[in-house]
Amino acid sequence: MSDPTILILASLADGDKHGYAMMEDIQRFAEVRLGPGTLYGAITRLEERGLIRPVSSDDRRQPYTITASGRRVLEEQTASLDRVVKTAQKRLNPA
Amino acid sequence: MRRWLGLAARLYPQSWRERYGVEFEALLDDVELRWSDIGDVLRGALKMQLKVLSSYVKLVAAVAMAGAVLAVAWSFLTPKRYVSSSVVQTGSQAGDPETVDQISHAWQEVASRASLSELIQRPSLDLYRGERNRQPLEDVIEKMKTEDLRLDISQDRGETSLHVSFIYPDRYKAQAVANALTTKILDASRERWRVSPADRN
Repeated sequence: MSDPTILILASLADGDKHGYAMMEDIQRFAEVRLGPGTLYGAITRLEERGLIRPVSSDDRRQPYTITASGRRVLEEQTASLDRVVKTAQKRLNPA
Repeated sequence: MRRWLGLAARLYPQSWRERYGVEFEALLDDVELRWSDIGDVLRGALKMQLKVLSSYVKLVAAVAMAGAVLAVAWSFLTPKRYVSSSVVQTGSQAGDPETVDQISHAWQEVASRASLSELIQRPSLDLYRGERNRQPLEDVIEKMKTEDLRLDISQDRGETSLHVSFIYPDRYKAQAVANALTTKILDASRERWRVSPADRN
């Protein structure tokens, strides 16, 4: 699971974060380091699709929050991924 | 390395930099940079440029397509109009006031209500049938006189010439009316002019 958009949605699922905080968080839970260009390419796409939105801040670092649509998409993606993982585990360890 | 990254970040489209430029620079200041990040930022800039270009091309293509569709629709919806013209060479010297006066009088007679009414209702011509069903004959005559009929007096090669034009959706009727008007003018002027038909559609 290395699609940067899903990683960002997963990172924002537990609270608002700015770009650097997302990078750190994703590196911690997914062991994937997103480059600055990749991260902001994904942020741009997610914002255009209405899955995340910026929250007001006086800092140069702009925090983002996940929207209701973004949460729905993340739930669908994780459910789909969950099915794939369970199927793969069953096939790797047949009883 | 930061300098190179800053330069690479400038390659993003202007509109993108206006929206994300400040926070992107803040990220570059915070993050522990790697050389691979230069390639990552360059790739990001290229993708954004292509995206903007693609949107622009799509917009231009959509506008061009809409224009083409409208033009085709317009060409089908607009009825064809034909222009038939006659040229009467008077043989009189250019600017001769007597000839100009003679033409004006002849034209007044030819373009009178009675004359045009006769032309419109002449069975062989039967002009403006649709309009006559919807509008009074007076309005139809006015339309013919102001929109479809034209008289020009010119000075060609030192000679006064008279150009009569008529515009109509039926090319044969346009030609017949231009000829009939020219004949009427000649009759009305008790002529001494030469006639040179120059009918064209």
